[in-house]
Amino acid sequence: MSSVNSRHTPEVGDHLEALRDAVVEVAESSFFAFVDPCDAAHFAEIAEAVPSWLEAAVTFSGAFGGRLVCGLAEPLADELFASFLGLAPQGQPADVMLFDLVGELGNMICGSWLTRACQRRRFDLEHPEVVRTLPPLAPLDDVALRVAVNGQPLWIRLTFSEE
Amino acid sequence: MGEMASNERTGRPLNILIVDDSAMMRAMIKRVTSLCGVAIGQVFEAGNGREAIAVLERESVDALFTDINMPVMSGTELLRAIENDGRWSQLLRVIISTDGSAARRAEADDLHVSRYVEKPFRPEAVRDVLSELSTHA
Repeated sequence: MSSVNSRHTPEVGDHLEALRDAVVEVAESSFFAFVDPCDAAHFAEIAEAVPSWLEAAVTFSGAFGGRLVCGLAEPLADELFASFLGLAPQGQPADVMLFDLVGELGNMICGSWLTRACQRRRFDLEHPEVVRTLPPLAPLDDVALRVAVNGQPLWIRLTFSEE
Repeated sequence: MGEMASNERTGRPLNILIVDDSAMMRAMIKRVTSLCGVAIGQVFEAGNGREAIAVLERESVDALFTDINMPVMSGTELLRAIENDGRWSQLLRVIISTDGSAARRAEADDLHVSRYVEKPFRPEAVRDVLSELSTHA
């Protein structure tokens, strides 16, 4: 993992390993879920039948600033909701609770990654914004990470603000 | 889970205040406290620091679990307000936050925070903190 010690705008490519580690840590610790790497072809395959997506956007500032967006299949969000609260899978939770949970997922991934990336320096996270999107999924050419969580698709887009 | 631990100093269950802008995170922490084997009394909830102060003003709270990044009033601002108010000098303070940076931990030390739990955390982390707090409350 590389550290970023200057005020130059960081490169997304320097953060992929820390980002992947953060997703794995959050999935395993809080959701008892398994994360597998996913190439573009396999991701397209598992994303094809997704009926809807939820996206959590978290704006961060501190040693460097930017925005992390975490998108995941809504059926995966339903599954993570149940495992987070220790409930049996029970269909679709209310939007207000599901969006809260997806926001917290994005918040934890962003915070876990920033703790690795910023090392000693503090950072601040804004309250997550969560939206539902319907297929077709926007092109993912610019995403930093594509993974399968419990066999379902999750992607992360990371952008840094100009210093 | 093991036998119920007692609050060794007062002999009564711990009253807890959970402060987080995520209702789901509050629910998760509350659930862990109910399963942790420590005698818990009332569990209060607040969505930000300002709401937390309102709870502290009217309820008897032994331990505070707070997030840092929250709208309206952050966890750091809340802890600073508690530090500056003599009424809550005995309150046990725990941070549960995604920010595990050394700078933030040093800031927590200055605000007399007893324990620092990083999100994401395993339920055992909160259980261990509560077990320790119950012997110091």
